[in-house]
Amino acid sequence: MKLKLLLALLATAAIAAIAVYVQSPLVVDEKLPVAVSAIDQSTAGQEPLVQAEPANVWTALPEIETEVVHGLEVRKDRNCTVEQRYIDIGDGNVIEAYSCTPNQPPEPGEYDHYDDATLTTMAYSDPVAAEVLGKRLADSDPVSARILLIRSVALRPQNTDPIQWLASAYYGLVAENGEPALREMSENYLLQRIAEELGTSGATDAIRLHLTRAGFGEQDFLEMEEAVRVDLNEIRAIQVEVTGSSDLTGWQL
Amino acid sequence: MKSITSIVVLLLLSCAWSVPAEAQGGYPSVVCDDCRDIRDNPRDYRNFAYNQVFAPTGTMTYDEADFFMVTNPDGQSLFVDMNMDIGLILVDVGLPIPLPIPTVVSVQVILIYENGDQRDYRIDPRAHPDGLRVGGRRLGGGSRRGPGGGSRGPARGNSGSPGESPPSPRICGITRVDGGRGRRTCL
Repeated sequence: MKLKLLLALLATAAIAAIAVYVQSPLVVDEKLPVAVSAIDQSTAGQEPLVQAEPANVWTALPEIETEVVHGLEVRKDRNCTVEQRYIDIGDGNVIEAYSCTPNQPPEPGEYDHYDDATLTTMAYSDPVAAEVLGKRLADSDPVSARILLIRSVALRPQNTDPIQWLASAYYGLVAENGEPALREMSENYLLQRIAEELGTSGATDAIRLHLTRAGFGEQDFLEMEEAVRVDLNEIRAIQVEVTGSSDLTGWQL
Repeated sequence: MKSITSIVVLLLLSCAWSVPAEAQGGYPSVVCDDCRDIRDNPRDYRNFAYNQVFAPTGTMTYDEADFFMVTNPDGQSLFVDMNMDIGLILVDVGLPIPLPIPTVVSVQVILIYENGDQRDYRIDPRAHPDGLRVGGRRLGGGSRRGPGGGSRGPARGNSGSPGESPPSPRICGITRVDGGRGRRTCL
């Protein structure tokens, strides 16, 4: 009788162990690729052709190696140290959480040591200075940031990254409590349309879809086109002012 | 016999303890030291969540980033629901036809507050390969003002004094930050 009980217990333990092993994230092999950023950089600006179901493509994406630290599965390629933390959330409650402290500070950029005044002067004709200062000011002075990032693109129109950065980082809100965020989406669309006119294909597809779902009609998009034209004229004016000529055609100064 | 039964019981218990992240409620809980007030600066949390997967300092796998909790050092918490749109991008690798490569074309980050409020963001990962800024830290090491502590921006006006650098040209542009029609503004 005892032997049967023992066998039953062993069988239960084995089944439980298998169940936990299968359910645990420790063995899930569908990892998000770290290499995505590398792929993205090499393919930036190219139009996504087909929207595929994630389940169909995960296996085609590079796998991420992971390990368990403090009972948590974390990526092996992380550049930080995992720590277990206890945070007081008030009412006498404490939650257990983890953080990952970078092992070394990020490498300073080539222009990071310049102060704002120097960068402002350089930004007249230097697209990198305009980009660095624009990103630096984006939180505190969004008006100046926009001027500088548009200027950066005007000075180097083959690189539309600065305005795409602004669109995604500061105008990425799509909805708040289910209500469409029209102001943010409009500005996002406007910046992406400028990028599109300068040669970045497919930049507006997703945001146009969101705006249409939010009730944007033909007339609204026509008004946006007028705003795009104003900004493109400004870009051309900057190019003419700084270099004496502009490759942009089709818009009236 | 009693000792064997004890071992079996211990085995069962060890199975239950082997997945502490799951045991906490099925989602990881992460501290964001640079995240500011949860209502005033929701972008901190969005950016932090994005960085967990896409920044060079990222620690999370796709599965973990699907749903997790972020807490700032003051104990303010919210949940993050992160989803990714996968697309195929054509890459020219020198073959007769371009090679389709699956990649993340858009990241959806939904912040869910304790009272049920939600903020839905979309991020283009191609625009942020190095991650997004979290907290009040400024990108780069430059100071707001120059070493002389003068007014912001280049010197304007015409002093005409010998030995001084010539006045810098003005930097102007169209601004449309508050919506509506653009207006011309100079730095």
